[in-house]
Amino acid sequence: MQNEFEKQVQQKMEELKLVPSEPVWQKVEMQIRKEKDRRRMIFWIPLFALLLGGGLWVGIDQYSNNISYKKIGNEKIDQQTQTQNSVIVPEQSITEQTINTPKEQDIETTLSVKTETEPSSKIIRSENIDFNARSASKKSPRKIKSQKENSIPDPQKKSVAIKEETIVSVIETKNPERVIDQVNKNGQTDQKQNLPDSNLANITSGQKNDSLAKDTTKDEMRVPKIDSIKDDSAFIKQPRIKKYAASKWKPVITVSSGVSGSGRLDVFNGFLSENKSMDYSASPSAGNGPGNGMVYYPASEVEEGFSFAVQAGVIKQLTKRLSFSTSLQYNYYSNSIQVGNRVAQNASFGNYSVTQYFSNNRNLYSSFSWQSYHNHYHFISLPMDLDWQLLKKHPLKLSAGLSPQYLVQTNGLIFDYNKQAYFHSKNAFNRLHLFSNLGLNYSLHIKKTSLAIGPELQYGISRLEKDNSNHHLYRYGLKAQLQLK
Amino acid sequence: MDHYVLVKDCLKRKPAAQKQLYELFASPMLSVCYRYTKSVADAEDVLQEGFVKVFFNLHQYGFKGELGAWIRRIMVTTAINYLKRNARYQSELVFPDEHLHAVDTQAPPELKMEAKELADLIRQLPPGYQTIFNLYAVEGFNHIEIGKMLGIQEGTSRSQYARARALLIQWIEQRNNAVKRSVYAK
Repeated sequence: MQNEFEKQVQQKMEELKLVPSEPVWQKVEMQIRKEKDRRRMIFWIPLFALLLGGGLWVGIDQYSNNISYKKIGNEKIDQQTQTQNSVIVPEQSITEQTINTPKEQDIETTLSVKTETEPSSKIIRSENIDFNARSASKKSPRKIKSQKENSIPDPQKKSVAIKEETIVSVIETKNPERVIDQVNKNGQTDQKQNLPDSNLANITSGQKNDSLAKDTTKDEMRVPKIDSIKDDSAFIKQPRIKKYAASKWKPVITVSSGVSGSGRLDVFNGFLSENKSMDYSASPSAGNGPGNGMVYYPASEVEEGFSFAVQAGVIKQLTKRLSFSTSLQYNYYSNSIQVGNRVAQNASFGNYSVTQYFSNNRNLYSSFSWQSYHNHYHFISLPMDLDWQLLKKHPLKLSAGLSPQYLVQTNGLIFDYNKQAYFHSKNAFNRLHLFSNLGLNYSLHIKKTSLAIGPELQYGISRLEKDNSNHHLYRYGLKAQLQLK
Repeated sequence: MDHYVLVKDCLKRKPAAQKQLYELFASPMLSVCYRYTKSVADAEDVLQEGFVKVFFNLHQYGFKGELGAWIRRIMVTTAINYLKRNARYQSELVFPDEHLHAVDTQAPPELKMEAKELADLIRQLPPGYQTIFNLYAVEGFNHIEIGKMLGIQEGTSRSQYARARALLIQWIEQRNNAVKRSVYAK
């Protein structure tokens, strides 16, 4: 008996049929899209973060290399700074003498410096410095003056302290000229040669080199034997060899033009397929709301419109194949929709109050007509892009990046599904947006400028409207970037 | 369209397939939600929440059993969760531990009424009774399952159901008598 009642109830309940109202599906759809957006973001954000992070890392690395290189390579080395940086000696322990003073027999150190104007000279330097004296020099360093200005044949100061070590530095350069300084290990003065441009000592860091003997032979100079050269690694700094010099920031001007629309990127159903998905279908559908059987007029299909962007910014070459660019950009997007009768009266659409709207419900009006409406969107943005040269020999680059954009002005309409009408309210739009940029470009070098041209796709990751997840702005077209040198 | 193809398309996130699935099951599922709630708006909220779960968890369906039954199970679970967290139902959704319940030996009354009318009578039960009655009498869960679902003891479920059933039968009889009286009056 008990089961019989339950069976009857079950049977009756199976007969129960209720029809949900239209907004239920819209809300379901909205939530599905939102989740898909979230999932898509989860995929893209780490990718972009990785790209940007990698770019920055490479950039910073190159920058630091560049600095160390410049410090070594571009330093103006005169005798004074040379003394400060490399040879700091006690006041009484080292004397100096020009190469043109061969009379002096007891000169301990002679420094030869090449000036910046002749960076290519080969320089050979010999020093004979007493370690005790060197440590003492920390307390009272003395700057050694230019050899041209000073010639200090002071025999009284000879061979006081420096007896122990001979250091020879050789810096190879383009210019075959060389300057050789040498100090006799036992305080005996070597025969000095009158060499071109040998008035300045260029002391940076040294390398012991077998070529030293050859070089000196050519110049008919006496050079300390290699065997006698002892390395003082604490004293001699090894130069850092720069692999690649990161370029400076260079100005760029970019113009993009194409078509824009409002839709969704759907990798499963074709590119931007949802621009024409069901919530945009123009045909009315029936049977919405529980039992009311009303005819439902959905939103219009969105037609793509003209779009362009202009930007001025800077670009920096991070590595041979990777560059980073950022700029200030103005973006214009537009699209067009079909709207119904314009109703000039105060109305409330959710949280938004409007003074006029466009109704798509043709049943409400005796004379109903469709009209075309153009939505315009003006954005200011700050795009950040990384360009990766795909091929070594050809300047074909893949460009990817993100651009935060601010919606400055719009006349865009929003569709209200309940009232089946379009309305405009600035507050209904999200002001801050995040767009992703993807493109290919090929660079053409014209004199001092380079022009990169290629296709570009820009897609709004964030939703255009606050209450609807289906609308994302996009643009695709051509991009031309002029890089000034 | 075959359910298999439909589910496959939904798993590929095809909007048309998703809408088709919704249209196919929205009406019967709203009826399920309607029985657990006190208003159409609440029923639609449950329906919406339930379908979102359906689409997010469709990969777990695995074509084991009937699709409608799988969706219905989700709707029921969603409805119970909705009642538990909704303040309007929370206070009334109490299940005192009662292990004594009357065994009804009477013949059940005839259900000469519309489905909607019976559903409305079920909806007039207190939320606790209503939920257990729906789970046992309509959905076909046993008291052990109901106990697990609601976090109550099996005996509590039995006694609550017995009370709900008795109350409903009483209302049905009253309604049948009223109908008879009106017929005689005519």
